[in-house]
Amino acid sequence: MTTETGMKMDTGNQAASDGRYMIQATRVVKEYTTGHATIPALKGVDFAVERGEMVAVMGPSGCGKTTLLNCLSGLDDITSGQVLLEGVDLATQSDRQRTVSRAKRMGFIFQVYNLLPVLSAVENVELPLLVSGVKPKEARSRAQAALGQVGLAKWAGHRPAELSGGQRQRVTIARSLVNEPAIVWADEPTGALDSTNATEILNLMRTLNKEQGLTLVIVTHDPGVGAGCDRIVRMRDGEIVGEEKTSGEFGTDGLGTLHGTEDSVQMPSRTSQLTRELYARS
Amino acid sequence: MNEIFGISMDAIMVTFVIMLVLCLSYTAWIALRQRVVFRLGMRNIPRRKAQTALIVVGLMLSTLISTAALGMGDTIDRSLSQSVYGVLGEVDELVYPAVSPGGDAITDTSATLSADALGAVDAVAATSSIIDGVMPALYLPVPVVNDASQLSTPENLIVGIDPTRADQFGGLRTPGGEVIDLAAVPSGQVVISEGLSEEIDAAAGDQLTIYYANQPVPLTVAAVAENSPLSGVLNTSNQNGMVVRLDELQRATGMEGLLSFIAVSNVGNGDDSIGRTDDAVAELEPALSTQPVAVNPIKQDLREQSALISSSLTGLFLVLGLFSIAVGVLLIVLIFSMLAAERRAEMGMARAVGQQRRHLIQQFIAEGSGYALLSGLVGAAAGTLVILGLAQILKDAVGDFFDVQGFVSWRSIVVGYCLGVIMTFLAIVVASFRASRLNVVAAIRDLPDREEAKRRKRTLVTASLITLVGVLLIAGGVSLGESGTFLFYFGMSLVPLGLATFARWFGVPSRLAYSLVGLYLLLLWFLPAEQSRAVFGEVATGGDFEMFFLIGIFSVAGTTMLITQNLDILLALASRIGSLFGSRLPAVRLAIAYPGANVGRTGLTIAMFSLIVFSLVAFSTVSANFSRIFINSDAGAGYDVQVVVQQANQIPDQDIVGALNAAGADTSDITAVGTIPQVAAQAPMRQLDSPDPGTDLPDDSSLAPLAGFSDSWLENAEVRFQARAAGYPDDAAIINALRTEPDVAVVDAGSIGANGGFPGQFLVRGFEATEQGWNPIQVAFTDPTTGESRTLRVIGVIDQDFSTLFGVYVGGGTAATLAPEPNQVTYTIALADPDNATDRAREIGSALLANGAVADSYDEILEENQGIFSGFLLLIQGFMGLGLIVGIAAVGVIAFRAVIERRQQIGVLRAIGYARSMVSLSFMIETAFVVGLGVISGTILALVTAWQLFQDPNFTGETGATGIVVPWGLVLVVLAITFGFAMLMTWVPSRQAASIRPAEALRYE
Repeated sequence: MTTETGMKMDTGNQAASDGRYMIQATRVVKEYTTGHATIPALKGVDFAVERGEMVAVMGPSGCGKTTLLNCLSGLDDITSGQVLLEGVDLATQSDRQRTVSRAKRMGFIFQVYNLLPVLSAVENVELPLLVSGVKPKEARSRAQAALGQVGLAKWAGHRPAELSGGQRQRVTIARSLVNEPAIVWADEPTGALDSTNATEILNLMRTLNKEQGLTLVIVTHDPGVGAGCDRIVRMRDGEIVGEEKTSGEFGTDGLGTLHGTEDSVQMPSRTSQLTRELYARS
Repeated sequence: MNEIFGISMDAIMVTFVIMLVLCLSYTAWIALRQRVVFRLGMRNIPRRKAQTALIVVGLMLSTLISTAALGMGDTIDRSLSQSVYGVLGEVDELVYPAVSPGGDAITDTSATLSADALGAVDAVAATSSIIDGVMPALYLPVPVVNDASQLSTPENLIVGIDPTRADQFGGLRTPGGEVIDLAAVPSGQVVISEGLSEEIDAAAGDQLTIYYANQPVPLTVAAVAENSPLSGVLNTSNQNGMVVRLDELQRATGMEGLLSFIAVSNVGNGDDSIGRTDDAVAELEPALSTQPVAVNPIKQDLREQSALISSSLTGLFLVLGLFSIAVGVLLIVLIFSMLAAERRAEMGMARAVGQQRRHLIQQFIAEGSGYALLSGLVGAAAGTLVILGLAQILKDAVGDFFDVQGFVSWRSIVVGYCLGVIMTFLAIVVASFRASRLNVVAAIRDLPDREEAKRRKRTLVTASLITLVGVLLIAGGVSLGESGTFLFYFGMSLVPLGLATFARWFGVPSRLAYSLVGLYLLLLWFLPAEQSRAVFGEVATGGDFEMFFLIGIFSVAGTTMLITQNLDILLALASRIGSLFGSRLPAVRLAIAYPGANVGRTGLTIAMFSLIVFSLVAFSTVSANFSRIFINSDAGAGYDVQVVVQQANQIPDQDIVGALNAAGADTSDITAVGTIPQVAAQAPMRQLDSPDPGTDLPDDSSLAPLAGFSDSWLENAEVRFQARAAGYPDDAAIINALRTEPDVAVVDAGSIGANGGFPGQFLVRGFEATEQGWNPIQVAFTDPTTGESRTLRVIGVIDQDFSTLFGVYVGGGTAATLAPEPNQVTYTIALADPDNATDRAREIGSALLANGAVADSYDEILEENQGIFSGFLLLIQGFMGLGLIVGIAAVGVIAFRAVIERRQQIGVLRAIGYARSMVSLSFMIETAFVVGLGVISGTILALVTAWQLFQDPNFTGETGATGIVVPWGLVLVVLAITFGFAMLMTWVPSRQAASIRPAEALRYE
């Protein structure tokens, strides 16, 4: 396969040998067909995330942020291109393999909490472990520990409806972490929270990232959230239009500080640079 | 069918049509005055086509069931009336020999009337504008053999009619319709019925031998005629007959100038001629007042009887159908609750922009009316088809005895349609009121409605109303005594519901309040009969078939409350034993958690399945036990073969063994013989006094077979009595009394007033079915020989195990004085090897063919009864099984709805690692869990109900305490079908859920 620059592209196996990268996506195209109309959601996106990195994907509504997250995590199929997750091409995996991979290696945080309303907090958290085949007793103790980690040990027996928005999101985080994933995908994790709760959640995520080396990909339209990440990748109309480095610290108000300027949006992205490095090696 | 529950079908139709018009008028008002609301409602119908189809199926079931129940009445009515018209042809009245002038007719073949009566009838007919035909006839039972084929039948009638009058009754015709001139048939020749022709394979020209007075008489077949009274076919179950000229038969039998009856035809046909019966009788009776005859309006009587039977059966089917209808109403409420849940956000939005609550209700009513009208049409059509199908099943089961003709009248279709649509409409109104109560903000944001701590006045009003109605019902029931059982128990079941609602208002937790109600209901309904009587007294002793419905509804309600209020215990249990489920634990946990979180929906589903299974299992079990009790091997009272011989070919000296020996038959294995001479096939009887002074005794006589137990029969019979009068402490005392005391009698268990009985049947009233020591009951009846009024003393009730004994029995000595020449004698034979009884019965029948002996083993008789009984049960079970369609439709509605509701959650599950199979499995387990709870609770309740019923000696007689037999095979089939179809119905949506792409599901709102 030949890239736009004329270089031969790695199929993924060689890239897998480079353990630095958690995600490597090349020329990812995603189109939706509605009736006779085909709507391009991603138009040849190149994107890579290193292990332990905390990356924010930002852009206006409808630019394809969530679609990108879904495609990279294997929740959705891509129309063309390639996605390597920990060096493995998603296209070569069956639905079952991808499901197992999600259960064991990934965590998900969504904007609207997406907890199962019929289960208690601890039951929600232990669900991924049970799915992965962990014994119920062990799953329960790990779930309790995960809830403790997010400060909700005392709320373990409560159902989502009995928790506040911030508490629910923390349960979601506990659920996403309980199986010790390699990567956590977060789609607007603070979208439904007030600023205090948002700051708490972001600081928690940052702490986990720093202390446990957790890779995080956060889709957000909130500049403050983006500023607290290591890097911001900006999207518009299904394309990555730039990226910038940030301070990587969330302020007390939950907002981080941008290192770049408006011009930095136009700079060649770090992803493009990484991709080019990969192509060069091949 | 013209009446049901004693109300004219025309009146019912008019009432329902008016009610339907009122319902639709409201919808029309919405359409005219609230056009936007109406359009919004109607626009919802085609939105989700699959869902609409499912809703229509769910809603149509009420119409289907009511149409089917009414159609069953029509079918029975049509079949019975056709058989009446078929048997009687154009005969409307019969002038019979009466035992005394002006007395009641006794229909036996020995009685004859003279030519004087014919003259009187002719004289009336000559001047009458109502009567257009008079036919004198003489008939005799004669066995017949086809000499060529050697095929024979002991059950055959030869009739002598006046050929010159045949055309007044439509003429004697061939099956092809050609007229047969009986006057031209030479002596020694006979015209046979089509039925006899088929039975013995005889055609014109064949040589037959009949036996009269034990002598063979050769006859040649002159022609084959259609089955009709003119060709000797006088009943539906036996179409063997033959006809000769009246004068020839009179001459051949030495009965010159004598007649068996005079048939009278009215102007017109069918129901038209029946309408003139009263006038015809009024003309005939004065003219015959000096004659020893009675005028029997036979066609009118039989027609009324058939209408009564069909009306009773329709009532039975409607009561049975109530289960399905109740389940159908639950489904309607469920469907509209779900529709409301689905549209919550848009309803909130509509309220936010200014729609009133009543507009939401009107919107639902408009939409519901659309569904109801459409589904009513489908239901009425489906109900008609179902009844035609069930009629076919019935025809296959009992076609040999009864010609079933599937038929549903337009009136029934209209009533069924109106009833279904009205019920759907009312259920929709109730559901709409509930759905329209929403918190606007919570609805728009799709947040759960938080329960308001506020105490609502309407809760108090509801609680007061329920309690008040309950108390009134209890009071009404108590005041009615034994006949108020239904009201009493209904009230006793309602009051705790009202009290629980009060308790909720005062803050008592729902679990405590409703669990207690559930336990109370179970205790109330399953308190053993004796304890119930001890606690509640007389009011707990009555109740009829409708109690079956009440016990089903309230025991299921109680169990459902107990289950749904304590579902979390099951969830906790599932968590505790989680490791047992292995990798399926997540699926199991969710499958239990979802029903636990939606108690209302889960409760409705459990209640629906519980009711369906309750009705099917309870009915199967009760039927099986009835069958066990009433159709059992004791039926022959220790004898193995029954031989019935008519007077025309009576066995000399009633010495059947001698007759068999004379015929060269082996009698070495006959160990005992008993005789039961018939005094009268239908004797008019009237009870004169009662052990219970409060008993309401009928003023008129009713009919009962009257026969005698000969000493030889009593000596060898293993007969028991379930109730005995004072002075007769044991069975031996009663048997001794029958032998030695004149005019004492015993009756069969079916003749006890406490057991019900059928219309026109003579019943003995004033004591319970197994009561002992009551004062002997005086019964008046007319001596068939002397025509004088006589009195019998009833001193015992034959145990219901002896199901072949039916009617009133006196001792042999009394029978001999009442009927020295019995018109029929039943011989009972005990054999050394009872297992051989069926073969021996055939041999005995062949040996005594010349006597026209009809021999059957009791095993055969029981088998035949069992066959008819099973066929009827199959029909009822098929009808009750219609409820199953409701339940299955409900499972489908719920499962499809769940897939839509949980779409986003399915996305989350898939995201965190749920494989497709696990999503699908979760849905299947959920259905299995909920349906399983319904099925298990329904089965247990049904078996307990049946067990309780058969433990009550008042109901089952002395054999009651022997426990019940559970027809496990049938029960398991019912459960497997219920469960299997429910799972099948879930399979489609579960696959649909599993195939949702995670990203797509997560995007769904």
